[in-house]
This record gives sequence, structure tokens and C-alpha cells, in this order.
Amino acid sequence: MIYKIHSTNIDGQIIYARIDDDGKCRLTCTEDYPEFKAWIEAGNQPLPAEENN
Amino acid sequence: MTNAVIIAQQGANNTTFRNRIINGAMGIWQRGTSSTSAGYQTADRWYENASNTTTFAQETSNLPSGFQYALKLTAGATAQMWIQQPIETKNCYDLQGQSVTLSVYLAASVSTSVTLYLYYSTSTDNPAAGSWTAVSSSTVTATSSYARYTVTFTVPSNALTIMPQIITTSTVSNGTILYITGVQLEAGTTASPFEYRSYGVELALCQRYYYKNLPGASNSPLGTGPCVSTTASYQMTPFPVAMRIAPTALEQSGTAADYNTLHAGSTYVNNAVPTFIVANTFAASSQFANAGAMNSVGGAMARTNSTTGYLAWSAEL
Repeated sequence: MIYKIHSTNIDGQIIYARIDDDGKCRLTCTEDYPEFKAWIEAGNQPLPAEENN
Repeated sequence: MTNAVIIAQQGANNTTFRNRIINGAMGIWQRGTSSTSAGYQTADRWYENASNTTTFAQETSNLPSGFQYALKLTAGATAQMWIQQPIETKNCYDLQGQSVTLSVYLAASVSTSVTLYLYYSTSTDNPAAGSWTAVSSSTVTATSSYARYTVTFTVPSNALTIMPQIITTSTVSNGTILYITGVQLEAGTTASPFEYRSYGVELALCQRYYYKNLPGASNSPLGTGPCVSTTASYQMTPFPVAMRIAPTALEQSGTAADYNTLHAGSTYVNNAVPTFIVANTFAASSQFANAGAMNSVGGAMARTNSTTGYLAWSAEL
């Protein structure tokens, strides 16, 4: 599972897409989403938007 | 006796809503009925975990009298298995320094040692996966016949979040099954009969922490809102009850074709999965996108395009 930068919302917040191991996106979130925060704290970095499929 | 007197006496005796556990009877399963993953995956409000492969699933046949469901933990390898439920600060603050009694119905495929813990945190609304301190514990033996087990704890005077945990005392062998239902945590030193609440009340209590709009049919509404371009609309979904906190993520099926947008009499099937935009405790906004040629102004309705399309938001601890 990884996160990619997806878009920017109407408030200027970055929206991230979680890409599961099967390649599907089942969740999108802000940087405040607890599981995303834990993933970042574990040393991971989201892929940039230009690498979105 | 007036209603006011009755209500006052009920409050004094704490006879209603005395169970601080939500979904103690395992009757609400918004997320699904079986999972091998850790976290909030099956029965609402129950955080599941294990040291090795374990299946957490809905049980509908092996039950104690009066219960329709149990949570069934099946070890798929040698594993220690557990469930826990953090109780938010607003719902346990009055228990600081007080005695509380945990009661639970347990059964197991083979005689299994189970430990009943109460954990606490001095942090407000400490999450299930956060750092906790054990108040104390008691070990019981679950057998092939259901029995109700009880243990009394004293909540520390500085506790801001408390969390009962039901855990196999050590690892169990592959294939061991533990059944859990009728979980109750109440003020006082004795266990009163399990408090049954109506399905609607229990569902509403659960929806404060997680809400899943899964109609189970095609062309069923998920939200309404304006078109913002010829290919996208912003869809607002009101929550049935105010959530604990504003959700920060949107869950969906992972398949764009599970969703469509009804606009100006035409249906536009999504070419991307719905996306989180913003949310507060009362409603959320999501983006629906398609490859069609909608008017860039006007209203639209977000809908399912299959039986499996859904939108869900979490405000869990």
C-alpha cells in the first residue's frame, strides 16, 4: 500500500489517494487522516501527482 | 408518579444507557462480516488484532440465549487474538475514580484462557492503536459452553479515555475459535443484566464513529450537489447523526464503474472513483467525475451504478 498526491481541494488542502496492493484506490484523504499520518511517521513519502495513473 | 419523577429515578439508578460499550451485542456490522486484517474491520466499534493470521467474523449460530450475533475469532496459525473498544472521553469522564464492572459472554472451541483488561490513558480520546496503561486484569477460562464472566476495576482518577480489552492470555493453536458477545461495562461493582438497546439506537450510536452508505442497489442516491465542470460535480452527503469528529477521508469500493451521476435527465458513469473534498461532523462533500459532457452548471445527483457501490466515512478513535 502506498499514497499518492491526488489533487487539491476547494480549501487548498492536498488530497491523497491510498493505492492498495492490488492497484485500486479505495480511500482518499487529507494529511490529517490518522492512518496517513502514521504512514508518514513511519518514514514513507507519498508519490507526486504526476505519477498518478 | 409523574414522568419527571420516573426519569429522575432512572437517572439516579442509572438504569438506562448504563452500558458504556457500544455494539456490545455485536449487532451492527457496517464494514463487513469477515476480515483477516487488523483494525476496525467487522463489528462496529470493535478494534481487532492478533499476533498472527486470524479471521474475525460474524457468528449467527453458536450463541448464548437471547443473542443474535457474536464475534468469532478463529486462529489461522498459532496466534494471540484480541478485541478492544476505546471509550471516548465524553462517555467515560464521570467514571474517574469509580468502580466499573466489565461483563462478557465467552465460549471457545477448546478450553481457552482469556484475560479481561481495562486500559486507560490520560489523553483525551486516545485512539485504539495509541499508547495505553493497564489498570488491571483478570483471567478466566472460556469453554465450549457460553458463560458470563465479570471483573471489577477502579478507574484511575486521571483517566480521560478507557478501553476494555478481551484477549487470549497467550497464543492459541491453529484452528482455535473464541466467541465473544454481550460485552458490557458499567459503573458499580456488580454486573447487571445485559442492557438491550433497540437496533435503531445502537446503529445511531455506531454511526457517530463510522457511517457507510451502502444501498445495495443500482441508481440509489449517495449525494446531491452542483456540477463544477462538464466532467465533475461536488456531491454533499449528510450524516444521519453528528460524527465524533470531522472525517478526513472517504472510503469507496475502488471501482469507478460502481458510481454514476444523474444530471439533466442523463446518467454519466464515473471514470474515476469518488474523491474526498471536505467534511465536518454533519456532512461531507465528495467529487464525482466522468468523461461525459454535462452542463457546467446545474444540479446533479451522485448514485450507485451497481449493488456494490458505497461511500463511507470514519471518525473512530
